[in-house]
Amino acid sequence: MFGTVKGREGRFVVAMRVLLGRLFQLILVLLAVTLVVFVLTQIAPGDAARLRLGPRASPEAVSELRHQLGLDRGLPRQYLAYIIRVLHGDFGTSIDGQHVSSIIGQRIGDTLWLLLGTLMFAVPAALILAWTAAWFRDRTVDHAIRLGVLLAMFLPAFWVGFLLIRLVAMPTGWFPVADLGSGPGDLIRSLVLPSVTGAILLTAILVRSLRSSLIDVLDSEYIAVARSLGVGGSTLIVRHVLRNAVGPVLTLLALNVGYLFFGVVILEATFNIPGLGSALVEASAKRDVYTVQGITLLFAAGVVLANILGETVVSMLDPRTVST
Amino acid sequence: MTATLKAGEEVPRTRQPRRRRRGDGKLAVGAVIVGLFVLAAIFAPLITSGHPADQDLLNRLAPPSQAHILGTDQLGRDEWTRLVHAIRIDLRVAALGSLIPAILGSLIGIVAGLGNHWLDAAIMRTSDIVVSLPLFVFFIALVGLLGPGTGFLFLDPGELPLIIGFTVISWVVYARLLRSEVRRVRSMDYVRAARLGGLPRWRVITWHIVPNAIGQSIVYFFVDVGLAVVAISTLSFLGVGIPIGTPEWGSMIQAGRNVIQTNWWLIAAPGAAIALIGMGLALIGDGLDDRIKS
Amino acid sequence: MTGTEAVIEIANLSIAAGQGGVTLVDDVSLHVDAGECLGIVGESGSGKSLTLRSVLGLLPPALHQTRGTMRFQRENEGLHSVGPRELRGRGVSMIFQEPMSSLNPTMRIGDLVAAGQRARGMSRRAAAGQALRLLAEVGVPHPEQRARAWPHQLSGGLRQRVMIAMALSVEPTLLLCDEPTTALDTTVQDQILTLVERLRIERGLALIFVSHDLSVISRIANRTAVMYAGRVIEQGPTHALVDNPRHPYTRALIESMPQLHGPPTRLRTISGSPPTAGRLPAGCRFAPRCPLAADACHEADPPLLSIGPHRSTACFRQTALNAGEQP
Repeated sequence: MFGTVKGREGRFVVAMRVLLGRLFQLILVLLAVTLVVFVLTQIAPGDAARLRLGPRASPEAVSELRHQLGLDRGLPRQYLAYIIRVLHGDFGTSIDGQHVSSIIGQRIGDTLWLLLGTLMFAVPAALILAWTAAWFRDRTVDHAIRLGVLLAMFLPAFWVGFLLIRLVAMPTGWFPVADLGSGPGDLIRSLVLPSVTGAILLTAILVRSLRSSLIDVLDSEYIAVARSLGVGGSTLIVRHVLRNAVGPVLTLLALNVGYLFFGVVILEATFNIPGLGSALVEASAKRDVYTVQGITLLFAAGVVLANILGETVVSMLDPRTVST
Repeated sequence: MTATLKAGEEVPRTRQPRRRRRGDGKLAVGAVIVGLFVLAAIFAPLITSGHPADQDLLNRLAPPSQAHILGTDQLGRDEWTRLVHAIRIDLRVAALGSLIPAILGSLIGIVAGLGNHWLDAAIMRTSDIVVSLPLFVFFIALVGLLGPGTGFLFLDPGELPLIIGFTVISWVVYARLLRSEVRRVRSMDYVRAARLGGLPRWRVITWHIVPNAIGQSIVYFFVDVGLAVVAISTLSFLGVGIPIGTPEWGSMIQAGRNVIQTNWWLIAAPGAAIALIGMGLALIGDGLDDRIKS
Repeated sequence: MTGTEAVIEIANLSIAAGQGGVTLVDDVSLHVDAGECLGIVGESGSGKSLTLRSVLGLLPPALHQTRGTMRFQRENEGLHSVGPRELRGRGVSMIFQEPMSSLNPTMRIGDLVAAGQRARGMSRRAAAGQALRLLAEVGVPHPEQRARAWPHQLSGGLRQRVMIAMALSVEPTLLLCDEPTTALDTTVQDQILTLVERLRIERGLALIFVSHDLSVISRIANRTAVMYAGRVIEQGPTHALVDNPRHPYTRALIESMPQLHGPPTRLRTISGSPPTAGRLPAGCRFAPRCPLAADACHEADPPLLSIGPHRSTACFRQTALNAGEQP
């Protein structure tokens, strides 16, 4: 109500400063990640050139390809060459001769849909459950939710997925169980079961911390003050409580992005969805070094970016980061 | 307390009936579940028939019967035998994959909590980076490319990479827990008193600081073993870690996916085993947590 | 004793921890007349803040009101029995102890002061305008500018003024003050007390003012109730109570208060410590620490009895106190 350009500007500037600092950190972490990925592919058994050409290729052809791929140069130069190629968006070619970047381009859509679907189910479910547990704290409902959430962390996602396929998809025929649909209706129908499966674990992780941060807010003196003034119902929840709980939720989500990606890999394998995760699993089974490198780097960048984004948004939401 | 005691009479020791404490119920249920699994693993040959790799090719995908209480798989192997023998692999790898990071991480956490500012900052920044990496994705990439490797001491092929991977992933939790607990305990009055009283530094640490700081990480250890079981089976479901064909819950589920319509129990049973042992371990952890907090 | 001009009447209030747990406030009855300031004084743990918070139903989650009724006067309608939720923002509001933790960190000052009226359906614009007027009334300099500030940008004294503006925004007839000056510096404390006093007179507010500090209470309250271990043990007009205490605990409180005027005297402290709830002594709760305690005091809990116009005390030995017997 009293928001002015001046106040927003202050917050914006601070957020930008945080963002810039974080971007620097992003570059450092990505450098570290490329190094890890590079070393990882160096210690992989087998010769990349030999793997490509097959066992019957002549030694001359192999050494020719080794030279083309730059494998005959020293490790530091190979690493530098690798970084430069990555910076140009060139992730190399797969064993089958496809550009890794075009593999990523084909497959990233399904993975993003799965991430979105999982979040769409998990965040509202986590908010409702955590809210209920916090509101009825130490009563039976709360104990039931806490126990349920604890146990849900130990349900293997792929197993839950198969149970849903067998018990829901097969008898009803409502949900396709392989691939994502192309039209909007088909897409949504094919996303339901994977998203619910992925959401179970994520919800469990979120509820555990969200409940205690909601309790902290509910117990705070400023909520007692709001109540004493007759503020109640949805106004109290939205304007006074949730605004203070958004920060912890975002921080928590950002921290768990790594597990979320792992979850998507499992979902793709369980529901036969050709996304980045299944591409990674296939490629690593085939020892397809460049494809593994590219996808791993992408996931790592995603995690780091999500962390930075989370931190920036949280600092924008918290007025205490502004000092005047 | 008005009655006077005669000389030589012993003060009667009033023994309070043991009160049920919070968390006792969860602890009992969890201990029974985990205990049954451990017993089944130890006495696996007694409660199953034959070897988990024994094939009966004439009797493939048999439904549950008296001879095969959970039926047989595609190669005619007895599902129940494989299920029970899998406990040995999953629990052993999970226990080691949690115990090693627990010890290592706790030591690092204690050092960070007691050490100087720079050491502490270095350890914490490292753990920040470790936490912010998609380690399970790295793990798939690394073990997938390297292959399961060979056995190591009493470990079978594929088990060592899993244990190393879990160590890299979960030492951070213990390090952070112990660090903050050590810092909390260190500033307590009784620790100050002990230090001022002239107790040697290592005695203060081993008698006063560590015992009072270790509670939460013991709670987490039990949860972590359960999470490790889930992770091991998930990875072998993805074809990473424990080699295909080994009696392991995750690869059993992977093998059963093609016959989900007809032989659904081949998927239901191993998954239920994972969930059950996980819940048992979680209940033990939660029960201990209730006890510590009450 | 209660005239028809009472604004609020609390009868037989009891508060316990959990179901059938320890009793923390035991059978407290209080009333406040229009335009009057009732002070409640007592050590921490005496139940004074719980009594106050229960008026608006703001007890901590583990505590429950086990007994008690409340009657409240609205606009010459006479006293009506009410529940705590009906009073929130409707006739009663409250000033809290900690000015830092009682202002929501994610809301601007103007929005905070407007929140009460917004909850009652006032338009944004009107509520914002009223907020500016209130900030000016409680002495916040540059209200337009401050309305855009965040709580963490203000000093403790200013925050407490904002808190008072928030409490006034719902136009209460009864203002509850829960140690509003305890967390502040002495000079700021004085300013806030002056402000509360001024608002009481200008707006004709009735006040309940809780403090552990008898000097604060004696400055602001017309009438005072002394609480000890969950009970009211003495009640009366403040000046009469301070000049002539009729309970040994009140006398001890007065003697432990530093005197600014008059010859310096040695401060007395009260020996021992107040009983823990749930481990109350048999008989009078103060008896173990009381210099005048007699056998009777250890056997029965003395009831709060009237001992003159507007005065009551819960002491078997009050005549001994009257005779000037010194410990």
